[in-house]
Formats: sequence, C-alpha cells, structure tokens
Amino acid sequence: MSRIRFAHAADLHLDSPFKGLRAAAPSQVADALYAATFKAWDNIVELCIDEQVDALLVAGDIYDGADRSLRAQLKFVEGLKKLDRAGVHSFVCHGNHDPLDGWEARLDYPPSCKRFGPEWESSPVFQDDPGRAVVCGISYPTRQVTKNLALHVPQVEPGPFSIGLLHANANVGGNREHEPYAPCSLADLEAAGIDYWALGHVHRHQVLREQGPAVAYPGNPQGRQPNESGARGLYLVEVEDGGSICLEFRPVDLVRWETLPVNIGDFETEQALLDRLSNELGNLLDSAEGRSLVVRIQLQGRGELHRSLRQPNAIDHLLEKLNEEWAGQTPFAWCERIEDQSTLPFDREAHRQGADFLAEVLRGVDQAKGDAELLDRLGAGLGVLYQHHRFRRQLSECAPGTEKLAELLDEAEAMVVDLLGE
Amino acid sequence: MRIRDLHIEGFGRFADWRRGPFERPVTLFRGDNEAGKSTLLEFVRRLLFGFPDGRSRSNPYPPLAGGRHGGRLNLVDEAGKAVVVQRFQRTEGGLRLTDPNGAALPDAELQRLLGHHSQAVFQNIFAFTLDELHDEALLQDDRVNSQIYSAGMGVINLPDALKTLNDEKRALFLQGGRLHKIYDLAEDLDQIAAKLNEINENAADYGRLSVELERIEENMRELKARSQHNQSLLNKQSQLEQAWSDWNDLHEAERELSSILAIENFPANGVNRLEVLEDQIRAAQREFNSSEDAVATARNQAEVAIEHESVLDHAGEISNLQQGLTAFANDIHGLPQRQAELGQQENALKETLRDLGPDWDVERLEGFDLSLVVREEIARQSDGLQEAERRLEQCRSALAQYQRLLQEAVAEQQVAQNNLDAAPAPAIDQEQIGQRRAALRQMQSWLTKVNSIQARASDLQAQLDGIEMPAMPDERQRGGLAPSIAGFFIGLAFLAGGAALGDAALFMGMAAGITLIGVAAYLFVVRKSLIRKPAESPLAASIRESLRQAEAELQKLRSALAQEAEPFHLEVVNDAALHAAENMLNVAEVQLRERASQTEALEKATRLKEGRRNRERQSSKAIEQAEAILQRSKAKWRTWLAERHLPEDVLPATIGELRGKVDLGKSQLRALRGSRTQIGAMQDSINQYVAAAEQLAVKFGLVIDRNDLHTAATAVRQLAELRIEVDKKVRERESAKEQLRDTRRQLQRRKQSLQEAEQEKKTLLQSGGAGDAEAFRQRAEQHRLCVELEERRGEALGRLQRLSGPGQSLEELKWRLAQTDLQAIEKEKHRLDQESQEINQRINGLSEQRGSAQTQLGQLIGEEESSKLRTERHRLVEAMRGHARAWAVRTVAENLLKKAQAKFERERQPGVLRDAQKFFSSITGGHYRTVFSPLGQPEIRVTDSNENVKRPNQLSRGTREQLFLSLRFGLIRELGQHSEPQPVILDDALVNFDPRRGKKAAEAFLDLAETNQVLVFTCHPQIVEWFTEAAESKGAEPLEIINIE
Repeated sequence: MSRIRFAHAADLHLDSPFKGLRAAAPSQVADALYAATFKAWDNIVELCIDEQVDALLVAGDIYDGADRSLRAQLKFVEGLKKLDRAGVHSFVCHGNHDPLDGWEARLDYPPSCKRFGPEWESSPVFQDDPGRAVVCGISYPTRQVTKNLALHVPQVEPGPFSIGLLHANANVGGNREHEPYAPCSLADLEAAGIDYWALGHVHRHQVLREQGPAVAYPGNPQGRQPNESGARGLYLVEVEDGGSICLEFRPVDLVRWETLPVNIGDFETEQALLDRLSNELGNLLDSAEGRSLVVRIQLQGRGELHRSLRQPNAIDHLLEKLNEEWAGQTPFAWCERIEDQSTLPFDREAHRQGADFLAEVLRGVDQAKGDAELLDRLGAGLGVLYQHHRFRRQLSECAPGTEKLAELLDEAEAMVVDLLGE
Repeated sequence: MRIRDLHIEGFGRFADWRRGPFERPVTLFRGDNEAGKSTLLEFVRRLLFGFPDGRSRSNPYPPLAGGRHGGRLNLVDEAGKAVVVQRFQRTEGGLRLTDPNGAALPDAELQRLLGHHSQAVFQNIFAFTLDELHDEALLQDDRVNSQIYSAGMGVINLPDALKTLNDEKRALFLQGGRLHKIYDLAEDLDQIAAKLNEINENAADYGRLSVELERIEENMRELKARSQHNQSLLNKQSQLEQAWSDWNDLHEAERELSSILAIENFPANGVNRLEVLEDQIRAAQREFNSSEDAVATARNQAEVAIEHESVLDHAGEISNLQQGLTAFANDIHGLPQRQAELGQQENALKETLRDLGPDWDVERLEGFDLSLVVREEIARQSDGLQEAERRLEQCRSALAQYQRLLQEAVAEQQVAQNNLDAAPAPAIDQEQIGQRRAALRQMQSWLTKVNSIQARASDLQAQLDGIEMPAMPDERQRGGLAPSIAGFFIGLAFLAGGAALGDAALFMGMAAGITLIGVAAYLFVVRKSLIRKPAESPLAASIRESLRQAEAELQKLRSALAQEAEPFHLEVVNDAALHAAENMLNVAEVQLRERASQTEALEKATRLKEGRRNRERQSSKAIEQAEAILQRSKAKWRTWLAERHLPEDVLPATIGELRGKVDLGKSQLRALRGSRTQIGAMQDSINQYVAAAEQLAVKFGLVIDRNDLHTAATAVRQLAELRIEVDKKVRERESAKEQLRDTRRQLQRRKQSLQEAEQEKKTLLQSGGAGDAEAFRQRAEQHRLCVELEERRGEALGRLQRLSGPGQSLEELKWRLAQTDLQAIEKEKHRLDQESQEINQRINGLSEQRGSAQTQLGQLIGEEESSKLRTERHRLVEAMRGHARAWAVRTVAENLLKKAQAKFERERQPGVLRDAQKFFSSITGGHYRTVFSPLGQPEIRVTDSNENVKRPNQLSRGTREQLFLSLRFGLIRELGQHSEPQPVILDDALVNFDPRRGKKAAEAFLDLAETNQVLVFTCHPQIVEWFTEAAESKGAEPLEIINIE
C-alpha cells in the first residue's frame, strides 16, 4: 500500500459569532473576531496545498445553518474550489449544526468534492486508483440524530485504507460538554472495520485511540468562547506504507481565548495589580505563537484591595487601562471581562462561631447547602425573572438549578459580607 | 448625644429665642397652651432631619415673628465633642455643620451624632408627642422595625444593606416594569432579531437571482456571437474602402514603368561616391607636395659640425669637480679660522695648568684618576664624616633634654614624700577593720535579740502578775517586784536616751542605764525567790518557766555582748554605741585608703626619677661613642689625600673644586688635539682638488693661478658650462636626423594614397557603364526614376497585402476590388453599421440586467452585517444573563438577610421587650407583669397580675400609652447599647397618666436620664411636680425648669 496524506478538520462553524462576550470589542478586535473563522478556514486550505495532502476531510458543523449565512457557505465552497485547482480532493459530511434539511444556498461544489448524503456511502480517495483508499461517510439528515450511526457502517472491502467520516459524540468517559448526537462508544467504532475514524462534534482536539483503528477529534479550528482556550487546528494524518498512522496536530487559529486567574492577596495597591496584569498579558501574548488573544481575567483570593475594587467603575477603569495598552497592538490582547471573585480578608469560620447577625447569615448559608428544601426557599422568586414570558427565550436555559443555586449562595454570601462589613 | 443649647432665629412664633446650656440630666420646659412647646419639639426635629419640602402637608412653621426660617443647635457627643448644627430653609442657607470655632464639618458627622437613625426612628422612639405615643404603627413600620432589630443584632447598616440590594435589583429587573436593564436588553435583542430576519429573507433570493443571472448571460452570449459576425462583414467592407486608394496607386506605377528604358545593375549611390573620390584625389596631391618640402629642410639640419665636442668624453671628471666645489670653497675659507682657534686653545690649557699648581703639567693632568670608583669613594667618605657629626649633635641634644626631665622628676618625688609625711596613720590595718565589722554585725544581731527577749519577758511578767494578783492580797509582796522591773525599764530608758543624745550624754546615759538594770536585776531575783514561795497554778508555773528561760537567754546574750565589745572599749553596748564604733571604723578605713594612695604616688615618682637618671647616663655614653667615630673618619680622609699627593687641608666639601679643575684641563687637552688633526686634513684636500682641475683646464685652454686658489674654482665652473653647451648641440643634431627619417616615410605613404584614389575612380566609372564622369552622371539620373516607380508599386502592393489580413490571399482582395466600386462599398457598410448598433443596444440592456443581478448577489455574498448582528445578539444575551445572575445573587442575598432577620426578630425580641416589661410593670405598680410578642406576629401582648392576656387595644388609653412608653424605653436601652445615645424629648406625653403612675413614669424617666438626656415639654404643673418629687425621692440631681412665655 502506498503512502497517503490527508488533513482532518471539523466544526468550522464558519461565520458563527464569538460567545460569552458582554463588552463590545474595539473596531480592530471586532474585525479580527468577525474574520477569525474564515481566516482559520483559509489557513486550512493553505496548509493542505502547502503540505500537498491527498485529501481534506471535514467532519460536520461547517457552518451554523440556523444563521443562514450565505457568506459562510460561499467561502467554504470557494476554499474547496481552490483545493480542487491544487489537486486536493475533499470529503465533507454534515452535522447537527448544518444538517441536510437546513437552509442552503444554491452553490456549485467542485467535482473533486464528495458530500455525503443521509445514508452511509463509500467514495475512493483516488479516482484512478480506487483500491488505494476509501472514505465512508454520512451526513445528518436533520439536526436531531440520536441513533448510533456507527452501528450501521457498511461492510468495508478488505484492501483499501478505510476512513470513516462521522459527526458524533463518542461518549468516552461520559462526555457531557456536548450534546449526545449520534452517540457511540469506542467499541462501536472499533467493530466497524474502519482504519481511521475522522470524527467531528467535540471541540477539544483529542486522539481517542492511536491505532487499530485510530480515532480522533481535531476540535474546532478557531475557539469561539471562553472555555475553548488554547491552540485550535486540525490533524495532519500520514499513513505509512505498512498501514501505521501518524497524527500531527497543526494550529490554524487566529485568535485564542485565555483565562487569567490572579490572586489579589499579593497586592496592596491597584497600580501594583495593574502592573502585574499587564505583565501577565504580555507573557500570554509571548507564548501565543503570534496569535491575538481574548482574555478573561478572574480576580480571586482575599485582600484589602477588594475594598477598592468594589468601588463604582474601579473594575471598568482597570479594564480600560489594560485595553488601552494591549488591545491596540498587533497581535492584540483584548480583555473582554474582569470577573471580581475576590473578597475582603475574612475569617469565615471565626465569624461563623460568633453570635452576631453575620454569624447567623453564615450559618444559614451552611445550613442551606446541606438542605435542598432550604436552598430552594432561598432561591424562591428567581422564576419571576427566569420564566418571565418576555425573557424566557434567553434566560430559561440558564435558570439556576440546585447546583447553580449553591454557587449563587456563595456569591450572595460574599455580597452580604461586603454590605454588612461597610 | 446631648442638646447643649438652642437658638431659634425664626420658627413659628419664636424669633431670636435662645435657651441653654442644658446641663442637668432632665430639663422641663413649662408653658401654657399655645406657648410653643410643640413648636420647640418640631424645631429640634427639623434642625436634625431637615425641613419638609413644599409639597408636604405638615405645618411649615413659618417665622411669624420674623428672622431667618431656622436656627441652630449646639450638640455634644458622648465623648464631649461639640458640633454646631445650623439649618435654615433651603432658600435661606440649608444645612451647615461646624465645630465651635466655626470650622466646617462633613454632613456625615450629623449622621454619626444621630447614631445613623432614620428620621422615622428618631420621631417614633426618641422625640414624640402625646398623639404619637400610642401609635401602634411603631412596630409595624418596616424602617423602624428593621432599625430596632438590626441595632440589637450589632449591624446598624442592615436596612441600608437591604435597601442597597433592593435598589440594585430594581435597576436590573423589576417585575411589571420597563425601566430596568434586562428590559432594555430585550428591546435591543428584538431589534436585532428583526434585522436578522430581514437579512435572512434576502438570503433566500440568492437562488432566484442565480437562475436569472444564468439566463441573462446565455442571451448575452448569443447576441455577442451575432454582433461578432456582423462586425466581421463590416470589417471586410471597411477593408475594401481602405484599399481603394492603394489599388489606384498600383495601377498608375505600373503604367509609368512600362513607358521608360530600364537600366539594371547601376552602382548604388554612384554620383555621390564619384564626387567623394574626386575630392580625395585633390587632397592627396596637396599632401604629397608638402611632404617633399619637409624632407629637404630636415636633411640640412642633420648634417651640421660641433666645436669642442671632445669635452663630453671628460663629463665624469668635470661632474666630480663640480660636486667637490662647495667643499673646496669651504676649506679655503675655513682654514685660517681653524688655525686661530688652535692658538686660543693652547693658551687656555696653559692657564688651567697654572691654576692647578706649579707641579702640574700635561702628563700629570692625563694621569690624574677621576674614575667613577674614585668619585664614589670621595662621596662615601664625605657622607661618613657628615653622619658622624650629625650623630654627635643628636646625642648632645638628647643629653640636655634628659638632664631637664631628671630635675622635674626629682621635684615630683619631693612633693609626693611631703604628702605622705602629712597623711595621718591609723592604728589598725585593713584586716583588723574587717574583723571588727564582723564583730559589730554579730553584736547588732545579739542586741536585737536582747530587745526582743526583754519585751517577751515583760509580757510574761505582766501575764504572771495578772494570774497571781487575786491570790496575792499582800500589796507589799506584789509591789516587791515593781521596783526591780521599773528599775530595769528606767535603765533601758537611760541607755536609749544616751544613745539618742550622743557624745557626753551617751556616756552618762549608758552608765546610769547599766547601773539601774543591774540593781533591777538584783531586786528581781531576790523578790522572785520570796514570791515563789506560795503554791502556784499550772498556768502561772508555765509562764514563770518561760520567763526564767528568757532571762537565762538574756543573761547569756549580755555576757557574749560584753565579751565581743572589749576590743571596742565600749562601756555600754547599745545601738548608738555600735553605730559610733562603726563610724570610727569607717574613718580609719578612709585614712588607710588615703595613705595607700600617697605611698603609691611616692613610689611612682621615685621610679620616674630613676628611669630618667638612667637615660641621662646612656646619653653621656652615646656622646663618647659618636666623638670616637668622628675622629676615625677624619683620619681615614687624611690618609686618602696623602696617597694622592694632595694637600692635607683639602676637605671633602672642597675636593669637588679640585676635581672640577682637573676635568676642565682634560677636556681642553682633548679639544686641542682634535683641532690640530682637522687643520692637517683641510690642507691635504685643497692640494688634491687644485691638481685635478689644472689637468683638465689645460686641455680646453683655461688657466689656474696656484697663488690664487679662487681661479681653480672659476676654471671648474667654465668647464661645466662648456660641457652643457656641447651636449645640447649634439642632441639637436640627433633630433634632426630622426625627423628626416619620418618625413621620408610620410612622403611615401601619401604617394601611395594618391595612386589608390585614382584607381578607385576608374573602377567606379567602368561599373556605371561610362567612360568619363559626365556620362556617369547622366546614367545615374535615369536609374533613379526606375527605382522610384518600383518602390511606389511595391508600397501599394504591401498596403493591399496588409489590408487583406493574415491568412487571406492578396489575389482574393484584388479580385474583390476588381468586382466592385467605391459607392457600392459605402452602401453595404452603412447597412451593416445599422444592424450592429441594434445588437449592441440589446447587449447593453442585458448587461444592465446582469449588473443588477450581480450587484444583488454581491451584496448577498459580501453581506457582513448579519455576522455583526449575530455577535451583538450573543453579546446582549450574555449581558442579559449576566444581569440576571447579578439579580439572582442579590435576590438570594436578600433572602439570606431576611431569613436571618426573621430569626433575630424572634430570638432577640425578648431583649427589647424585657426592658419594656420592666418599665411597664414598674409604672403600673406591678399590675401588669409581662410584655411579649407572639411568634411570627408583629403584635404586642401583655399579661396582668391575673395572667390575663390582653392586646394593646384592650387596654385603657392611659395604660396603652404607658405600654408604648415602656416599649420606647426598651428600644432606647437596646439601641443605646450599639449606637450614640439620643436625647429623649416628650411633649405632654403623660397627661393621661394617673398621679401614681405619672410619678412612677417620672421615676422611670429619671432612670433613663442616667444615659440619655431628657427634655420634657408640658403645660401641666402636676407633671412638673411628679418629676420634682421623683427627683427628690430618688435623691437625683435637681431638675432644670425653663418657662416658655
């Protein structure tokens, strides 16, 4: 068997917005964010051409069909045509965000592109040498696909190197971060007789199994929310003559998300804190391989500085200073938010043992954490907002359940300590 | 806080009204109805909390009697800090806080003084009227209620905290409201959703537009094909039109060519070439003639003869003479001067030898050794002599100094000896002093014991006397011991008196005391023996035995004391004697230390004197040694002089002068010999130069006079000039020969050129078919005409070929031209042009349609607004969720606080009510026992002495007022534990109390006045009496009573 080189990407989510931002970005940053998913796709195409791969595999969620972004679909096809001109074949399947019954513009795909339909199909990688490698793939006919598609893979002929292209939640270790679409287990994938499973859906790149068969998620090529931090890209896969598979992760992202936790207990003045934050941003930029950064700062710990930070506009002022210095640079580091989770120096246990009002509050918090009914009583009345007919659409999914109520309780306690400590 | 005094500038009926200072705990303001008591209460409230605004229905209390509407209060806090509160209606100045010196204070200072209580709390609890006294809203007012309980809980800012939370919540979300952040965000989101819907609908047009664009492009392709075909036909007609003029030219050229004789193979550019050749032949002839003249001239110059040409054979010798000419001239000029200098040198040497001495000549001068070794020897001997002399001088100086120091030491020794002789010498030494001090300490100890035992003995004796008295009616016997005891104590008294008075009295006292003690002891012993005779009780026997032991011990101690006192020669031993003896020991010790010091000083002076005497002797010996060294150095110098035959009186210091003269003589001798050698060399050089010059001068007719050596120099210069002149002529002749050769070669070349030009002209004429130049020119003109017509024909054909286009035949074009005429061409062309315009118009129309479709598609493709709108939508949703979370946190925080508050209200309430109950029970004389609040109900209940539970509205008016007054007392006590105590002001609040309860209430107010200032406004003399009587019965400070008129 001769050598095969292909690129495995997924979850492009072209033209889908960055999530989790509350502040409006400055124009330079906003422009970069709008263009980020497209640039990452351009980088994928360039990488395929530069590396002279035989094929590019895209495992679903190319764009968000619900967004009806014509631009996303056009840019995608434009990239495929560029690959076609460079002699690179492309194999595409659709996932829950871009199912076949979703909105789609009338576009001409290049002849070397194979888009898989709602049933399992096989397609040779090399038209002139069909026995060398074959791709088996399937697209979601609709958004909600809850059956295990891996169980229905057609019998693969022995001989060609076989690649399975699937958008699915391979439920390894109970993956709860993503919706359980087309759920399957590693054993299901192993039983299908495929040599390489090119999966999509999970946004963190990971190799579930290296050989026999190799199973990998390349993750999304551009992080779009705070919990999608670090480098994002695709896998460059090389199949040696003997059938051994070598995977190399290649970052193609433009902008990276970072979370920067800082303990305020180490600082006496706001200036000292500002200096440290500025320094840390510089360090993050230095280690970002030339990428721009969207940074969320979390102020933690206990310290007198909290007294200054809770003053009106103090956090905004800090944010403004940092962005004045770093957001205008190229590459930039834009702080989208500073979360003040810090508190005043406070010996909770000592206060809890007291007989005053605050002690009663603290004991009430502890009691509520161990008493679901009491916890519910403390959270009584929240439904007025979260289930309000006017705001339900935006808020109902983040209505605090028992677990979130416990978090709210901690924040509420900190707020009460602040208010009563004044 | 206390109100120290007040000043009303204008308020109600008061104008410029001042009262105070209110120093007493309770102040009563007494006045009739409408005297202004309620006005005063309201004045205080408003000064502290502000004037109501114009919309309020409350009485504005305008300044009816004039003055600015307002006034000032002087307040003092618990720590004694004074604050002046000045408040006027806002239009007249508003609030101003200052210290007593007028320095401004922040508004927060007033809040602090007011214990951060709200106006409602102050009005309901601290400063109230009769009407307000039984206001049941007291415990139902949230603000008051919260303030009451939070104060009890140690968190005075609970109401603020709850208010802050509520305010922040309302800003984030308010059910049913629209003025909150979440609603604003929802509105923005709706707008974005509408815009996105619009854009999404546009996106659906993409397919329709794509199909339309394809149709338009197909139509355009078809029309463009027709247009191209039409254009092709039009081009062909244009081609014929353009070719028509060339077609005519072609015909004309061919006709003229056929009418003239053709000359073929005529040389190209023949006439011009002929004229050039004729010009070349004429120029070559002129140059040939010129070269012949130049050859003749050069030949004459190359054959000329030169005189004295042989002088060049001696050029080297002449050159050498020229080079030596300067040295020769210097020698003949310098020789006499050198000879004169030699004479002067000889005279100077002679003078130096004379100066050295008669026995000095050239030979001794040369033989005198002045080497470096000798010079160093002289220096060494000179240094030795100088060192010996310096050493001798130092030793002499040291001897003089030590002699002076010795005299000083002798004087010091004498002074020390005198001091020692004058110091007193004690009889005892230091060791004896130590022993005697120890003896004194022992005696002191014994003496203390003696006194103690004596006291014990006296006590025992007294006890014994007390026991024996009834059994001893014999007064004589009983009195028998008295003289001995009295004598003993009188003796002790004498001893003590002597010790106290000192010196003479000491001796007298001691002697008398000891005598009396001795007599007393004798009497005591004799009488005791007599007294013991009758039978004794066991107690008396025991006491007597103790007394006996004490006396035995006393005796033993006295004996030891007497023995120890012997060395001190003390006649009596008591504290004073021991003290005197100790003083004597102290004096002796001081004298011993003084004498030891003087002895040490004398020894030190003696050691110093001996040391300096030794130094004096050592200095004398050093002088002797230095003198011996000096003598040895001088003898060695004299020996050195003798060895060199030099006079003895020469000193190391003067030997340098002699050495200088010898150095001078030696240098003069060397210079003299050098001058002699130089003069001989100069004479030899002159003779050789003249001989060489003379040898050459003869050959070329020049004369040298040996007597005048300058003629030799002149002859040499003439020979040099002759050589230069001959050399120049020879070079000129050689140059002329070279020029002759060059002109001959040039003549030859020019002749050849002339021949070649003539041959070329001949060849040209032959090629043009002519025998001479004239015939050649005629044939050339005929040939030019033929060529020109051929060119016209060729050009016309070329243009037609070009017009026929690539790949098309010229012959076809010519055929087509032959088939038509110019008019037919223009007609066809016009028809085709019309048709093309129609097609183009249709294409333009389609092009516009395509542009429009492409623009719409481009807008759809390049549309970025939806991206931004989606991003904004996410941002707004995120912001809304953030606000919702903030609201949720505040809701939970509020619930936490309310839960804790509810619990505290349940559990802390008894603290307030307990105090209230105490007051209520006291005021009602115990008729009511308890005050309580049912759990979870904001209500008050009381129980009477029969355990009947009653609500406030079931009580009589007076009792209900007493209940609420008691509740206020409880609250005032509770609040006072956690915040600044406030003045309590009541306006005729006790009018419904019966005299007994009224007086009890007055007593309760007096109790309260220990912590809070109490101001009472009343128009009832009875109330004044209750307070006055209560103060008297409690023994409290008198009241201060102020009449309001």
